Amino acid sequence: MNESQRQRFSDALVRVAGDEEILEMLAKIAAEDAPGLMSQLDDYVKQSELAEAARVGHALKGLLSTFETGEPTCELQPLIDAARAGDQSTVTSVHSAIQPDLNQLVSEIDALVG
Amino acid sequence: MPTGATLPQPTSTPLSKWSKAMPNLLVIDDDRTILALAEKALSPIADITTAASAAEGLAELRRGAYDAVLLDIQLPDQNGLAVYCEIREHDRRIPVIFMTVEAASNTAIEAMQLGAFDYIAKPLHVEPLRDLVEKAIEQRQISSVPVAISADDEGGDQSAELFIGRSPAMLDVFKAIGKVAKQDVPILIRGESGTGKELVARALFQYSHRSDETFLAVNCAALPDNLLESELFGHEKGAFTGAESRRIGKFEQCNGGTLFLDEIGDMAPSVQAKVLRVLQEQRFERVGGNKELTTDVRIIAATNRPLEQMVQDGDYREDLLYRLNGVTIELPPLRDRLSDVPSLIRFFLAQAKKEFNKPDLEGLSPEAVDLLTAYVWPGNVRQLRAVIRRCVLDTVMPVITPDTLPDEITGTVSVAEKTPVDDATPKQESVAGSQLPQLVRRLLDERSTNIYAEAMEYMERFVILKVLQATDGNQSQAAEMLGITRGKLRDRINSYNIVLKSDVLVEE
Repeated sequence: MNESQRQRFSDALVRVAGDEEILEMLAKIAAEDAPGLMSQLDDYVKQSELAEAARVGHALKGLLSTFETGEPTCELQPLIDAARAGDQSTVTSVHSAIQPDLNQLVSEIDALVG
Repeated sequence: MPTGATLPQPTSTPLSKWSKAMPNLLVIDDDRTILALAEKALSPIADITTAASAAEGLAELRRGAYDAVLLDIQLPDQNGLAVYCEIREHDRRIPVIFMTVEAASNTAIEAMQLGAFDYIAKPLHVEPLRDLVEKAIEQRQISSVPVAISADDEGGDQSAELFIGRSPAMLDVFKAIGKVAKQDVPILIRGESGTGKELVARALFQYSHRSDETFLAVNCAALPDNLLESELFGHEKGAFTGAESRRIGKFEQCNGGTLFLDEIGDMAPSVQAKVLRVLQEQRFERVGGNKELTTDVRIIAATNRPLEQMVQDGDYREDLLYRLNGVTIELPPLRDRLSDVPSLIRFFLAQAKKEFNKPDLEGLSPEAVDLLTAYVWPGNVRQLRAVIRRCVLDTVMPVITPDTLPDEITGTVSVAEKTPVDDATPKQESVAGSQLPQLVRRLLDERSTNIYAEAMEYMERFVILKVLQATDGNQSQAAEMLGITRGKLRDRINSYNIVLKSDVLVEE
């Protein structure tokens, strides 16, 4: 982990009591699981399967919050709420708005893997 | 990462901080990072088994003997609350800690009200998580140790030290427990430090109509006043700096169960007022909240402080004292029941022999027993237990003889010398507080389970002495400097046997 990564994920490091080895181990798992969840979310949003979109959105939020609790992770909550409320248009718009940032976060997490 | 698997076991059974086999923790979550984090972060305190679904977790639960469960509130195949209900059906005393991304979710609060141990927000913070799991495991141990209440049961279960002994003073305690355990009234347990007040509380719980419900213990002296209030009554989000989400307090969490309030004398007036209201009306509000909540909790309180004197000094509410002491159980100090010492020795000896794996140990010599039964035991049963454990650890012979016993018991050092303080010019080593490292080392050697309390007592005595010296024995000034009430200071002076001599220049 280099200095800029330590700064970027400083909150996450505090949560794991400064143990970089643990954070790298978690990053490896998240980098494996996040793309699948994002692809499922994409499919469910497109197919209007909102209950499933809420479930996968929740799982993705949990997974990514280990590394980043602010944006874009926290932006998944409005998507989850809208999906639970059956509000397809909000789900679609939030999803397309946050997708690039989610991709960026996942690539940053992937870069943590030594 | 494989799930449903326990971490590899070393060849010999590892001991936990509780000086027994490592407790078992089951973690149920479909998020692999949570399972990995739990395995890595919690393995020093427990053996971890992981499950990625409700079905897998419940199957694992039925296969093993778990001391606590960490449960995700939203699992792919079943709602966490339903899983929780199944866990309760399997074993009501397993503490369940919920993990949730949405800390304020209704499901989490509902789970707490149904008796879940606690919940923790994701993302998980390693240190608070570890503390919480340790608390849950301790709770499990407190509420699941069986006790034998019959005073007439000669071959009875010897698993709890409370019921060892047939002295008239203890028979009275047993009878009182038998009489009041099933009565749904508050009970006040009084007795010196180390006499076993918590064991009485546990017995009262286990023989009550509420024995299948939750038993929670709170040490009122261990928390600052504002945190104690929040711990007992909960708080609303934003109630104070740092209150990031709503928290359910023990009174709400323990609905239907029994709440043990230890050190009830160490409670701020504001908390006393709220506890009184719960006792009178079973109603309260969370800190920062307006909504009146009701609860059905049986309160068992304990103290070694002179509450009547505190009432006279204006440090304790009289109405609360009368509410609490409707039924009082007085635990005698060990010096008043020395006839029980041989039975207690037998019990602690057998326990330590097994725990420290000393199969060749035969017992104590008659001379050693004579010395132990003649000693006055200022630290009561807790001290006796510590001495026996230390002897078992130290001895290399099959028989423990007087030379293995501590100096204060063999008379090499007089009792007076070992009494905490007999004037305001205590010995140099005590005043300097220099014995703390030795004390902690000794307690570690003895595998004490009371290190925090004993170290705090030592520290408290040291601080009070120093401040009294600085004020030439002026108690009002000392209380102000210490930031405690004069009543509390007087109580501590009495507890630590500090005799102030104003005509003596206090020296270090």
